[in-house]
Amino acid sequence: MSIDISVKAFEGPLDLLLSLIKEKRIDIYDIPISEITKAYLEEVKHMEDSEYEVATEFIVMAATLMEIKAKMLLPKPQLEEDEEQEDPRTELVNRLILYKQFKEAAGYLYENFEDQSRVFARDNINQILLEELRPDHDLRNLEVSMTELLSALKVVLEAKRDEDEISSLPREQITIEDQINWLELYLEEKRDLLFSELFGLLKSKVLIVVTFMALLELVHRGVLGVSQTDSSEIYVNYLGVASLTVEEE
Amino acid sequence: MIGLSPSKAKKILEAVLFMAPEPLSTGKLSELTSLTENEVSSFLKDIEQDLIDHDRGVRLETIAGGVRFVACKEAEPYLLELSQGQKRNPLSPAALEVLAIISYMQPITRTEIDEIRGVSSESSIGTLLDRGLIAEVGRKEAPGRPILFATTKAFLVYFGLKDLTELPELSEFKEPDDIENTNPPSLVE
Repeated sequence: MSIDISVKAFEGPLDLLLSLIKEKRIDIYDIPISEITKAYLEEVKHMEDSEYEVATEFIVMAATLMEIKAKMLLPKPQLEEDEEQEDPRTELVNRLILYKQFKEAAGYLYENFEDQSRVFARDNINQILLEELRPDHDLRNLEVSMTELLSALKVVLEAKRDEDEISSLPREQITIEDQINWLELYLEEKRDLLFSELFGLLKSKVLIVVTFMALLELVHRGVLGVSQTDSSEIYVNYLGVASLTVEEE
Repeated sequence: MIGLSPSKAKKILEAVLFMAPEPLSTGKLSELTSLTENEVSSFLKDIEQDLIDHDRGVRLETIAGGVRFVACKEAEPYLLELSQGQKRNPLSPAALEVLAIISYMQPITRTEIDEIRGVSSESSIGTLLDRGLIAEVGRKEAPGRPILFATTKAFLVYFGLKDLTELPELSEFKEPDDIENTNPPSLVE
C-alpha cells in the first residue's frame, strides 16, 4: 500500500477551509461559495483516495457548504424595506474568523513556549525528563496509573545513580526500536515479570529510559499490559502478538 | 518570627525562593514570614536590585502571580548542557488550539470547545489535564451539568505569563495579508 504524502494534516474542516481560502487568496468576507465547495469536496475526495478514514466532521461541513450554496441560488424572498438581507454565509464566516483567531492565539502560545524553554528556573529543569516520558495518547492495557508507573521508574533510576556517575564510557546508541524488539521477545518467554525485576536487569539510566518508552509503545500496541497486585507490586504482562494492530506497509 | 531585621528578612526570603519548587506570591511569602505584603514586596525589590548591582548569576522574575529565581541569560548554554540538551516536549498543534480556546473562553465546556474547532477535542483535553495545564473547575448549570475547564497556574508558568491579562486581545490576531477586505464588518464581538 502506498502512502500519499501529499495529503496534509488538517485539524478539522475549519482548518481545511482556512487553508483553501489562503491558498486561493480568497476574501474571507466574500467567499465564492461554489468555488470553495468544489475545492473542499476535491480535498475530501483526495483524503478518501488516500485510504485515510475521513472523519464525520468533514462530511458534515461538506453538507453545510452545499446547503449554503443551495440557499444562495434560491430566489431571495421579498423583504420589508428596513429588514436586512441575511447572507447565508454569515454563520460560517463567523465561525471561520473565530477559529482563525484561536489558531493564531495558539501560535502566540507556541512562541511563548519557545521563549520560555530558554529560561531556566528550578521548577522547569527538573520536569524535563518526566515530560519527555509522558505519551500524548491513551494507553490501553494500562491498569496502573501513569503516576505510579513513573514513580516505579524513578525508583529504578535512582538505584542506578551511583553506577552512572563513575561511568565515563562513550554513550551507547540504543534505539527504542531495539528495545521494543528485545522487550517483546523477553516477555514472550517470561510472560509475567515484576517491573522492578525487569528494569533491574538494565545496565544504565539511558537504557532504562529507552526501555521504558519501548514499554509504553508496546502497551499502546496491545502487546504488553501493566498491572498492579494488592501489595502494590507492578507487573508487566505479555498479552500476545498484536497481529491485528500491526500497521500494513 | 516577629521583629525580623531587614537583613535577616531578605536572607530568609532569598532562601525560601531558592528552595521553592514554583513561583511564590507575595501573599504566600507574607504568610510564611509574618511580614506584611508591602514589606515583602519592598524586600523583593531590594533583593532584585542587589542581584543586578552585583551582576549575579540568578535573577528574580515575576511570573504566574508570583516570583522565582531564574538563571541569567549567559548561563543558558551551560544549563542546556546540564539538562543534556533536552528541551521540554512541545504540545501538538491540536492541543495548543484547545489550550488557546480555554485560555480565552474559560471556564468552558468540552462541547463549546468542539463547536469552535469543528472537531472533537477529547484527547487534547486529556493531554492538557495530564500535563496540569488545565483543570476541572466545576460544572455548568446546563443540561447534563457538563464539566467546566480553566487554565492553571502551571499554564502561566509554562508560557511565561504574569497573569491572564497578559494575553493579547483576541481581536489583535489578524494577519493583514490573509484578510484582504480592508474594512471588515464587525462579525465577532
